[in-house]
Amino acid sequence: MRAPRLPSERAYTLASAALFPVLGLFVALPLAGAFMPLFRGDGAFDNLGRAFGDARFLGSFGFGLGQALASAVLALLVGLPGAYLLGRKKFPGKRLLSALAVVPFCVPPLIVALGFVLYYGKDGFLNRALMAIFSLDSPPLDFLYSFWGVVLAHGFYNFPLVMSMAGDAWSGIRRDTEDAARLLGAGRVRTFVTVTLPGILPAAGAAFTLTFLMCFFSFTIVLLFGGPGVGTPEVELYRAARFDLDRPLASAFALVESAVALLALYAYARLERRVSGRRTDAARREAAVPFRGPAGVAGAVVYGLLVLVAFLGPLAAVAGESLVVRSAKYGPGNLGLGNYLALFSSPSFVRAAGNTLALGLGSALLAALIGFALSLALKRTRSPFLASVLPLSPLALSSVVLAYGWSSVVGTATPLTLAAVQAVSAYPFILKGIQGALGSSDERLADAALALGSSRLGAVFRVRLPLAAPALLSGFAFAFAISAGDANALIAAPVPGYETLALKLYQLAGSYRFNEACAAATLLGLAVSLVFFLKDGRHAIA
Amino acid sequence: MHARSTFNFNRPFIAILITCLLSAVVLMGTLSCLSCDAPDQEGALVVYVYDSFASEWGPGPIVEEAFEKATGLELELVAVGDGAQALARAIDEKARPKADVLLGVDNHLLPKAVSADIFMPYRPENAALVPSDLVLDDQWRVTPFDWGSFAIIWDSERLAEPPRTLEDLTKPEYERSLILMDPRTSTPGYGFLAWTKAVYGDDMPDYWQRLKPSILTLSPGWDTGYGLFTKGEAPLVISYTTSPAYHAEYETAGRYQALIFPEGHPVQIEGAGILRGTSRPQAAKAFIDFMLSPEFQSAIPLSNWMYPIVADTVLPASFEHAPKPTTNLLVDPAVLEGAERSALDALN
Repeated sequence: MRAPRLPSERAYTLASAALFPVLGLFVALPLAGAFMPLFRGDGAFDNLGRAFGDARFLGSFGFGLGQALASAVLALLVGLPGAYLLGRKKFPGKRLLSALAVVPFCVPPLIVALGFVLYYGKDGFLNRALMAIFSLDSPPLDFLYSFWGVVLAHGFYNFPLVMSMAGDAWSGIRRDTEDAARLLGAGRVRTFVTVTLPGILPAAGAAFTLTFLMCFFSFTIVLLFGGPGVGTPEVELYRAARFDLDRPLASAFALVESAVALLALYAYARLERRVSGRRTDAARREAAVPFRGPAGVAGAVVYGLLVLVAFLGPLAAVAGESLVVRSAKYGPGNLGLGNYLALFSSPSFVRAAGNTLALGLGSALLAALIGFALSLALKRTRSPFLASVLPLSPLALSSVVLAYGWSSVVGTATPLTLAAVQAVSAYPFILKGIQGALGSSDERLADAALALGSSRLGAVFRVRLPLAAPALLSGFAFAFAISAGDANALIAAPVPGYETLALKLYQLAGSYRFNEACAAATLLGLAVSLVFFLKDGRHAIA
Repeated sequence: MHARSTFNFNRPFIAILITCLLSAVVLMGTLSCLSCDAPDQEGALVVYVYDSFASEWGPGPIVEEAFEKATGLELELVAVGDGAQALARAIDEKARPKADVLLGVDNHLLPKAVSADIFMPYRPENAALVPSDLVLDDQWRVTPFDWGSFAIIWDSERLAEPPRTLEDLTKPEYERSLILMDPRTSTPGYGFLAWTKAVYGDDMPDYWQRLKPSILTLSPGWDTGYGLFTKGEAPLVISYTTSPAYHAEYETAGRYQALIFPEGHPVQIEGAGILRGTSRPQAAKAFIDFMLSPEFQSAIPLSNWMYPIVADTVLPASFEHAPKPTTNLLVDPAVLEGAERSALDALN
C-alpha cells in the first residue's frame, strides 16, 4: 500500500540518506577494520587458503557449529514444554516462569559460568548433595570442561528464549480450529501434528535460530569450559589476534564466522516474517485454562522442579556463595557480608561501577539513536531484503569481531569504540520494538500534522518521536542491560586502565576470588534485572 | 491555543529528551575520563604485571608502597592477564607504548620478547647481586627478580596414588585429573610445554596426544587453573615446587604436595625490562634497581611464592615444605620454536 506523494516523502528521503552514514560508521567501518588484515602479506586468497589448510581452523568451525546446534536442540527440548505451559495453562508461578525470558539477555554469561562451577562442579552443591543423599564416594556428575559441558551451559542458559517465543505463538493458536479437527475425527496426535505444530513451528524455528546464533558466538563460557583442544571461532579469533599476533588468520576467522552467521540470520529473518504474519491473523489470544487432571499437574510440577534444580540452582548458588566469607584465599569460610564490604571499600570497584553506568548509558543512547534513525529510514524501503535483513544484521556480527575491527581501525580501543560495539549489538532489539509500535496509523498522523501546517522536523518531533517513545524507552533499558553485562568487547580489545563491573567480575573469577566475584555478580545481576523490570524490557524481545 | 499546543510535548518525549541530555553529559564524562587515564598526563610510572602479582594477596601492594617510599616516585601496577598475555599486550602496543616497564617475562618467553625488540637494555647498579647462573640476558634487556621450579601439585585428599613421572600422567587412572594452562597465554602453561619438550624432544607432540585424556582443561591463566584445583575440580595441577609453602603458611601443611619427578624440573626465572619508547626512563631505571633491593626481594617468598633472586634473602619457615628437585632442567628456548603449535595440534 503506497501512500500518495506528500511533502513527508522528502523527510523520508532525508532520513534514508541518514541510514547509510549511520550503518557505515557503526558497522562498515569496524567490519572493514576486521577484514582488512586479510589482504596483508601474500594477499587475501593465500591467507584464506592458509587458514583453510589449517586443521585447527576447520576444527574450530566444526566445534563451533556442532556445539551451537546441540545447544539449540537442547534449548528447544527444555523450552517447548514451558512454551505449552505459558501458552495454554493457568497456574501459580506463571509470571515467574515467563519472567525467566530476560535471563539469556540480562544475566551475563560469566555469572552463568561461575554458577555452573559452584553448582555442577566436582565439589559443587549438586554433587555434594547427591553424594550425601546416595552416600557415594565420588562425585557422580562430571561433565563440565567438555563438549557436553558447553552444550548444557548454553542449552539451559537459552531455553527461556524458546519458551517465551514459542509460548507466544502457542497462545495464538485458536482452540476452535483444534476442536474442529477433533470433531472431524482426528486423534490428539494428529490434531497436534496438523494444527498445533504448524502454528508454533515458525516461532520455535525463529527461537532455535536465534539460540543457535547466540551459542555460535559464545565466548566466555567456551573460554572457561571448553576443555583442551580448539575453541569456537570466536575464541580462536581472540587467541589468534591477541596471542599468536596472526592478524590475517584472525581476519579469516572473522570473515568466515560472519558469513556463517549471516546465513543463519537469513533463515531467522524468513521464519520471523512468517511468525509476524501469523501474529496478525491471531490477534485474539486464547484464554489460558487451569489443569484438568492429576497427570497434567504432575507433569507441570516435574517441569517446574527441573527448571528450579537445573536452571535456577546455579544462579542461586552464586547469590549464596556471595555471603560466604573466607579468611585465607583457599580456606574455609563463614556467613557474612564481608565480600560486599570488601568490594565497596575498594576504589577500583567504585570506579568500575561508575564506568559501567557511564558506558551503559552511552551505549544505550547510541543504540536508541541508531534504532530511531533506522526505523524512520527503513519505513519506506522498497527492497524486502533491506527491510528484513539489514536491520537485524548486527545479530550476525559478534562483539568480538566488531571490537577487533575497531581496534585495528583506531589502534587501541577506547570507551567510545566500546560504546559503538555495544550499541550495534543492542540496536536491533530497539529497532524491532519501534517497528512493532509504529503501525500504519503513524503515517496518517504524520501526514495530518503536515497537512495542518506543521514543519517536517516538527512532525518528526511532535508525532513520530512521541509515538515511538514507549518502545524507545524499553529498548533503552534493554540496551543498558546488555551493555552492563557485556565483558566480551573489553576482553577482546582491552582499554588500558578502563574497567567495568563485568570485566572486574571476569578478573575476580579468573583469579578465583570466587566469593568476591559472586558478590559482584549478584550486584550486577540485581542492578540489570532492576533496570529491565522497571521498563519491562521483555517487550523488546518479543 | 495554538501557541500552547506548540509546547505541549507529552511526557515520554520529555523523558527521552532528559535521558538524551543526561547521556550526552555522561558520554562527555567518559571521554574526559579516558584522557585522564592516559599515562603521559599523570606522573605515575606504569608497569604491566601479571594478574597474581597485582592482586591483593600478591607482592603488588607491598611493592607499590615500598617503591613510593624509597624513591618518592608514584608507581602504578596494571594487571594485564597472565605473563604471556602481558607480553602480547606490550608487543601489540609497541608503536605507542602505554607502559614504561613490563614485568613477568621469563626465560622461556625471552626469545619472543627479544625478537620483537621491545626492551631497552639497562644493567642495574646492583646487578652483581644476581647469581651468574640466574642472569637472564647478558645484554640486560631483562633483569631477573625471582625464580622457581615447575612441578605437579597433588591433592592427597582426592587422589590416593600420585603419579611418579611425566609418563605416569598419561595413565588411564588419571583420566580428567590434570589441570594445565594454555601455553599461549600463561607462563606455567608454557613452562609445562618446555618441560615436555626437554624430556621428550621430538616425541613431544606424541606425548601430548597420549596425555590428552588426562587433561581436564587448559585454563587461560595460572590463577584460574590453581583456583579450579583448590576448588576440587581436579587432583593434579601444574604449578611450582613452592606452592605447598603457601598452604603451609595459611592453611595446614600436607594436603597439597609438590611431586618431584626423576626426569628433573624446569627452572623458571622471571624478570622485568624497560619498554622502548618510555617517556620516563629515569623512573623506569629506578624501578629495575629497586627490584634487587631487600624491600622488594623479601616480599617475594610470602607474596609471589617464588625464590628471591638475591641469594642471601631470608626464607620463611613455611618454605621447608617446598621440596628441592633432584635435577634442574634448563631448556634452550631455541628448541621451543614452533613447539606450542605442535603440542596444541596434538590435542585436537
